[in-house]
Amino acid sequence: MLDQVASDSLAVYAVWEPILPTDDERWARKATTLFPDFRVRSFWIATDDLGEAFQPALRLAGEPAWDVYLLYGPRTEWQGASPPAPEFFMHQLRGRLPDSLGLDGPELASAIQTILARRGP
Amino acid sequence: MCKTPKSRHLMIFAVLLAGLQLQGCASADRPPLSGHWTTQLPMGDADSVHLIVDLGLLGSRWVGEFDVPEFETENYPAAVSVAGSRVELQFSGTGAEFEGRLSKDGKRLSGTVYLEGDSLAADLLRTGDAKFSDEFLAFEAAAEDSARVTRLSADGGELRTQFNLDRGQTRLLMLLSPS
Repeated sequence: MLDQVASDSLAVYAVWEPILPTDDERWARKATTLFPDFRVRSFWIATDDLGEAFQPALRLAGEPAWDVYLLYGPRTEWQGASPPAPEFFMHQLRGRLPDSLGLDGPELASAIQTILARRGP
Repeated sequence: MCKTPKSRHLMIFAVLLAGLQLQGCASADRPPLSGHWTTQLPMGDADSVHLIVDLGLLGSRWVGEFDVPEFETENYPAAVSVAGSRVELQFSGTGAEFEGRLSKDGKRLSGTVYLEGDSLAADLLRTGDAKFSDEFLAFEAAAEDSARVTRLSADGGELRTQFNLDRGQTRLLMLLSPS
């Protein structure tokens, strides 16, 4: 999906969380090889606190936010403890978040391009 | 000597490769699990899929890689747990698990594959030496490189700081399970 967005004006954060029993920092380091793109910064958090902090922004209940892709425009600022609501998001949490927002690579790339285009050249 | 990130990765890769090549010599007191294992899993309607698993020792840790060609799944990592003859495999990206036992002659891994609520009898046969892909070795090498991830405190403050530093850019934030 990132291959379809060439712009240097895109910053990407991959936050690896402990969701499955096998998840740990070593697996997070390994998983960074999935995104060989200089725009991607990779993080590991050892607790599910951040996933829980993102629940309100996604209107998700009952489990930490994971397998979610949140898109923010250039003006959004993260103030205080609660993360801001995304301008757009997609997910792979079938049945827990709207089916219409199920992850679709081309659609997510298109949404990124739309926000990038708003900035102008 | 100061090493560039690229040379550091190459060095880790070379050490890993050497470690995997040496595993046969170091396994005299360990179960003979290392090798190339194959089986066919029935998927209903008389269809079946091939499950191909390579297992080896990396230092003191077991590592695994698997393919399911019919699902276009190739060179995926598997988490490996070994206790005596008991072997557990967790196949990343699929939600599938295997629980079974290694036969005394080291030629057979017999047990059950659990997938989406189904239980499938699985009898993996050892057909040769492990054959790890370059992609897998690079994947394992990454585990040794602590610089690949930034550790976050519980409140994610470091992420928040970076997010705000990047204000003016479009930002994509992904929350993911690594395995």
